[in-house]
Amino acid sequence: MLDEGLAADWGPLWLSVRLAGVTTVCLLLLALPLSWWLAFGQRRWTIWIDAVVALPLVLPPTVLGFYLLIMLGPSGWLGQQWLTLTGSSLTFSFTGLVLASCLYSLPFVVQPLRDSFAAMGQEPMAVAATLGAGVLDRFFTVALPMAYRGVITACVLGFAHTMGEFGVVLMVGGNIPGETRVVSIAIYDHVETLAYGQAHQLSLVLLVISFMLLVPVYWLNRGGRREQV
Amino acid sequence: MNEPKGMLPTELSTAFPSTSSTEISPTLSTAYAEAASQALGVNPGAIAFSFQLPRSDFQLQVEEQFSASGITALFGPSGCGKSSLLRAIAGLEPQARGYFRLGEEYWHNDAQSLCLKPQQRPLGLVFQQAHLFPHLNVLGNLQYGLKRRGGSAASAKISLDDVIHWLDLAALLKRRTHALSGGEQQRVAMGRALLSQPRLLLLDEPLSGVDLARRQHIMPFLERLHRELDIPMILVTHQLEEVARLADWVLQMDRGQVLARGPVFSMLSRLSGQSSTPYSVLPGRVREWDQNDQLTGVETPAGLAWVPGLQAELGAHLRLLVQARQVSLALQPNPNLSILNQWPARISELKPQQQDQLVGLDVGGQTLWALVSHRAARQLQLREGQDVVAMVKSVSVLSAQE
Repeated sequence: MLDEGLAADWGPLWLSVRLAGVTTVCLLLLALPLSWWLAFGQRRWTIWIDAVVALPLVLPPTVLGFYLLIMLGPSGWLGQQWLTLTGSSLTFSFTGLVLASCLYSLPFVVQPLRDSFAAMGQEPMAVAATLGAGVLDRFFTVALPMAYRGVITACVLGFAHTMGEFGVVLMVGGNIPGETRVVSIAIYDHVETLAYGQAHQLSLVLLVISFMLLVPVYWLNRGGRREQV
Repeated sequence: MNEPKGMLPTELSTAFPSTSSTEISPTLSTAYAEAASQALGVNPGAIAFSFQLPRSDFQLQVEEQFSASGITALFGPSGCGKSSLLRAIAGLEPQARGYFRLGEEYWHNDAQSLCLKPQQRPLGLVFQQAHLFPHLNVLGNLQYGLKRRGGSAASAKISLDDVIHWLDLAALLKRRTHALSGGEQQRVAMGRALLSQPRLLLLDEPLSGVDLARRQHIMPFLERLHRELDIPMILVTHQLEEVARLADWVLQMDRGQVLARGPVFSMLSRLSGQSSTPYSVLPGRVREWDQNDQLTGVETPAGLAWVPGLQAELGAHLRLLVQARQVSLALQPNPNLSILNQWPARISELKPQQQDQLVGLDVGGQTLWALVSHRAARQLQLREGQDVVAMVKSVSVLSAQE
């Protein structure tokens, strides 16, 4: 009975992992240049973008999900473009979920990156430039290795946070097995149908995964603090 | 070179309205002329630049030209624009307007919309902080610029082995950078900059982050680089001692402008004449060694200076330090005194101070300061243009140059 239940739940769990993985990769590509600009750009512009990036931290997921639903829907500007381009809808699809997750997890990726870039300062990059390293060269050989704690923290938090999202997914993705039925939705379903045993199992799995992801982050950042002393 | 080689600093200075306090006295300008033509004669290249750069509390506005050999010191108080100027030369100040030229090669010229990126300029910059890359060990740091600019290991003009030898880095190569002392970090930073094969080395107060005791250890390394390498260096400093030991040419800066410029010995006289403990620095060359009396005879523009206990090779170039307090004046040479160094001098300047009379002496084209009491000055009836004898009680050696 227990094993059967868990086997049925592999689908949502795997979907969540896939969603979190794709989202993290997309976010990293977007957040690296954005965080760099937020760390070193002109203050009078960055404060506005900083605030926008932090919005998902304070807004209820329903608000974010509601706007996303309108924007990604077949009559929203992005959803419409997507529909004419690909012939499929963005809402209630995996692609739509990735887009929504990117927005929802953005602050968790941007903030650690921005802070570690800012802590590094611009001088190491200036030094690398005078030693003959071009922009991309010095970004990959100096900035990224020096900010590695921030990069790892950003990846883990982005991944873990996407694994755990619920509200936005419910609004934008619905509950389509194999497409948008992620683990948090599956747990909600189990509770609704009073299948507490399965809810317990899945919750425990998510709890353990999240914990295992977070421990290295705090271990890493504690080590950092000690090293600086 | 189509450069006007004999262009004198005094002529350059007319480009700037200088205040009366910075005007150059006639005797000094002769010395400038000699040293300038000498300096430009050694190396037919020149460094020339002009920069305008707005800062928060002043505008950097400079236009200079000097020989592309030896060490040029940018001297002035903190926050006077020295570091900004250095960063502009390195291409790290995108807002800087003007031009920069090393020899015939322009790195920056707004007239031609040319501005090379920092990575395109063959220069080394050593910052106040060493800024070593923490994710690389000492060897990795040293090789960072070498890999990018050194070409093949064999063709690099400055080799890893040379730098390790000059800067005494052999024992540090495998170490992590955060385990190094401040002085060791600065040595690694210097080595890293040198290995990027620079044609110009910029040093931004490389000794300021290093405590006084360790500074004494690093200074000889800088002197050694000066000796071993034919790379022009621009040294930012607010320490007169560093100027005295290292510089050949000096630009005195304040609030974004160059107040005065000239060869090190005359500039030092000017600068130390404004300080509370004036002193003079004289160039010298070791001429003889008296084994019996343990004295070294050093030839200076002022005359032969006898320095006790100095062991130096014959022919070695030195810089001698003479405190103004250690110089007395007499109207005639006096063989009945224990003072060995008695040099003919002519009074070029009288600067009354609160307690003493500061007397500027022309000794063989160089300035020597003497501090005498007001009463002594009155009794000897000292006046400008008068011939006297400088009685120098003690002379010390500042550095071994070559």
